[in-house]
Amino acid sequence: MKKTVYNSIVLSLLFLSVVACSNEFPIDEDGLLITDREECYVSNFELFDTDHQTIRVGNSHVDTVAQVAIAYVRFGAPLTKLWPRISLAEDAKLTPKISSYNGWTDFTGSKMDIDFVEGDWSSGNATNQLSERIVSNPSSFPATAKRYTVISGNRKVEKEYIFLIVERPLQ
Amino acid sequence: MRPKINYLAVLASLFLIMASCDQDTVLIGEPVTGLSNDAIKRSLPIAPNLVDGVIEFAYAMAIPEDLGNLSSAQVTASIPGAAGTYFDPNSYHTNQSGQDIPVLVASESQTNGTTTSIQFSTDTCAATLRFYYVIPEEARGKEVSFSFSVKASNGQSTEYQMGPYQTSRMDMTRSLSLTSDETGYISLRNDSEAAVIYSKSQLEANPSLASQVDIVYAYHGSSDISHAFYAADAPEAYRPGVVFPSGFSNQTKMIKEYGLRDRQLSDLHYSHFIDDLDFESINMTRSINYVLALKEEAGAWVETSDGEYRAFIYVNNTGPGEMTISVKRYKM
Repeated sequence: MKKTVYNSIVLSLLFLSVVACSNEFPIDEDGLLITDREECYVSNFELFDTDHQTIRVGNSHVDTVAQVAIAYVRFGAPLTKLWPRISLAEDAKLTPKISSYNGWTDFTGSKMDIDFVEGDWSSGNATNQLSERIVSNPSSFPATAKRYTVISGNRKVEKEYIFLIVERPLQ
Repeated sequence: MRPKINYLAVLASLFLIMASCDQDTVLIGEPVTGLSNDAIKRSLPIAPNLVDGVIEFAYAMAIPEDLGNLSSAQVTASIPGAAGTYFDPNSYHTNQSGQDIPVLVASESQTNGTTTSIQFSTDTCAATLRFYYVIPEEARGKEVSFSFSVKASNGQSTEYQMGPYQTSRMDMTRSLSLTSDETGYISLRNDSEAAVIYSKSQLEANPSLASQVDIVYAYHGSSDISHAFYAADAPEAYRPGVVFPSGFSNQTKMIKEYGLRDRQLSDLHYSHFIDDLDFESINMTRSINYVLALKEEAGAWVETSDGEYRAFIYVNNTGPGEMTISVKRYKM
């Protein structure tokens, strides 16, 4: 009986050692985990001023099919030194990188000049009517708008998003 | 049976020996044989020492009762203190409720140049006096050291060194009132005050003052603009209804800030302090020429157009069309 117990212990240890070191989730060049997720989208676009407070009004409009993110900002919000906070799908990463310290970026090129019509703004926030009108007219996007590319968790899917800023009229 | 009882007795006696209480008393230090003293700095330890501010000390002196009484105490500072430097003639002790109780033990203190001295007027063998040193203009940017000393009636004397303490090069002005209609012109170029506010009528009477104005304050009913600071090159679209005085030309640089509650400017209880090093090392490339939507506890880092002064303006509180600010200024 002792010999069979001893044998089964050794066999089970051998079996465990075989399955122990499998490299299913490697690390990429930035030290981030490469998973098997292929979702690749932006979920939120936030902008902070030099006082670390948001300059946005309401929510950002993100169209994951057209690959456009629009932030609606207060009238008079300065755009020269903003710190963007772009939220992504799980395990995805962004390129070019946004620094976690001193990520101040000039977003004046992303500002869109639009003629507003009735129904574009409701109690200070942009309506879907305005968002859809902007997205459906890609030729009006400024050429200098900021673009960032989202890379999925498995690093195989890449989508470039264009980031726009629309200033609301004086309330 | 018998071996068991012996074994228990041995164990029990060992246990009792180990658990017995140690009743010997131990002296913590040397017994006091003569006059002795000690001093601490009571003012905030990490706060920058500003000119016209006060450094407060507590100086404790004691002599065994049978040897005599305290007769006099004095402080010699390395730089003569400004008017208002004095020894408080009360000796303070803390009672059981935690309150500091004063007891008058000395006559008025005398300050001559660098020395402040005080004579004891009652028979006391132990006292803690408070010394207030008003930082003079001569000390700006320099270090100050103090030498405390005490004399007793039996001829003994002893002394205690404090310092050196660095004095800041900054100026500070607190609780300046701004109103959108009349008194909204901030100047950081005054020789003695960190910031002065000019009124519209002052500028009308003396138009050359407009070249001294660094920032124009204005209030707009819209929440997007609300309380705003403008430099001369601020875009017109973002200052609706604001008329700049003629001659206002300073392209002041500003960086909007929020929640920087400097303890000396805000009078709140956060231990944050803006010091000389902050003004020397701040990166002003993030600056713009207008700041909108200011509110309580917001602020702005400012650099004058000629780069001569840097300042931090803290918004103490706001009301419709008005605001109260406190300013720290640093000459580059």
